[in-house]
Amino acid sequence: MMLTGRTKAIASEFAPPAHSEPDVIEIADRERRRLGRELHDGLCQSLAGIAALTAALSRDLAANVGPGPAASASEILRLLNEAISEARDLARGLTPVAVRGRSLVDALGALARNVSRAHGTHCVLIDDGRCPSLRGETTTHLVRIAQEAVRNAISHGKADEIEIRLDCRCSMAVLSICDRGVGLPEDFRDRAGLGLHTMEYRADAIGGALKVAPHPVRGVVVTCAFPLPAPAGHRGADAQMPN
Amino acid sequence: MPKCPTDATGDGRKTLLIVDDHPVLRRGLTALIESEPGLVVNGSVGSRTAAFAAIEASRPDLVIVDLMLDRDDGLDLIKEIKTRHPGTRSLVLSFYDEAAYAERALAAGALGYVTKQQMETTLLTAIRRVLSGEIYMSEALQRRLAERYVSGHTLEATSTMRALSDRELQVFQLVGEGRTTRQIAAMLGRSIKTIESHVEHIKNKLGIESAAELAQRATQWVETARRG
Repeated sequence: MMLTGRTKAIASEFAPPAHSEPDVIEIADRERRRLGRELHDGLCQSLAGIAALTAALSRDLAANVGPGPAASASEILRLLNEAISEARDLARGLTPVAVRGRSLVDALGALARNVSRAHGTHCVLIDDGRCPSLRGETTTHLVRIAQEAVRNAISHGKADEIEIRLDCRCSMAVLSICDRGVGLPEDFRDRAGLGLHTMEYRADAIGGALKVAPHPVRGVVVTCAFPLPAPAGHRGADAQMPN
Repeated sequence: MPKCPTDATGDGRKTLLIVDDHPVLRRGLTALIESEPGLVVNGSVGSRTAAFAAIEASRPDLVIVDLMLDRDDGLDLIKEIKTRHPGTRSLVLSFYDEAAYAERALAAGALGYVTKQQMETTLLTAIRRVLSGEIYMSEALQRRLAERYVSGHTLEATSTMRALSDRELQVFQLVGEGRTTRQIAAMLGRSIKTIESHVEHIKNKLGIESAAELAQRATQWVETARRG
């Protein structure tokens, strides 16, 4: 739709004050840190308190009732401690990988290292060394897509191995996150918790396309094909989804 | 929490005060400690002010302190206990990695550092040890301190943080948790200008040039400290 000069002026006058792109990213990152903090300093503390109560109960049962009930209490304690570990891992996963000022390869490498360290999942980055310099906004969207896919692979796919690949050709590139987990639930498209819509939105925002599919052998492959900045005089090559 | 009579128990049992801002954790900790014969918790509070009121009223043998209190700083509290009540021992119980905070806690005057993940397995041992006049630290921490004593330095990431004062580290930690300058000022009861000045010192000491880099480094620090 064409806007006349006057309409444009009115539109801009009444437009809500826009946040710049860095502001939006900063606000989103801050929000994730806040959630991470609340998980770590709120939920984890409650669970630790309940674990301590259960440990006291187990000791009491062992001394005054018998080994059977004490063993049951110890089992609850073990499960609680597992839940605490999961919640702490989740809190760490929410800490955003710092993207700004980093190249895509650097940021994806940091993501892979963080995941391997924090979750004990073997996560590697394989890049072909041909990725050109990208706009900060593009890098951020791609890293967040990778982060979401990795989180799904760990939380839902129980993956013990994740491969992040970056393949750059002349006019397009493909970022893929491939896990060796249990695969996708049948209704995965309807599950809001998987962040699929956000990933699709991010892919769309950089002119790319997202595909989530089962891996031929085991696990899930998330691919995002996106156009690379064209060298001068070569604009407009279409990005195509890989098969 | 009902108050017990002053001057402890009169029967040789040792008395403890818990300072932690999380009520469920205080409840669980009390049950765990009291499951051990000879120990009694005669107060559990969530703030510095309440802690001093309880210490003055009941003179506990040992205070268990969480480092990250909602409105107060655990390190400040330990220093203040040491100055105002030199006979009262303190032990840190924290969810943060000992590599990040244990040395500062010991320097502030705590006699031990236990992480909440090790609570069921090591807390009672640590309490016994500190009550008998010893210092409690994990084998990993003992090794680290010994290595540094021998080599004179350490290459760990946490070592670069030693340049920061306790207050600066507290501000850095809050930045890493996603707090704004205004929120930090309100939490610490200081002016925004003071916090901005702490931030400038942190940037100088760590060689950080921009606000974005500060946020990034602080976020990484929080992640490291939570790894415990």
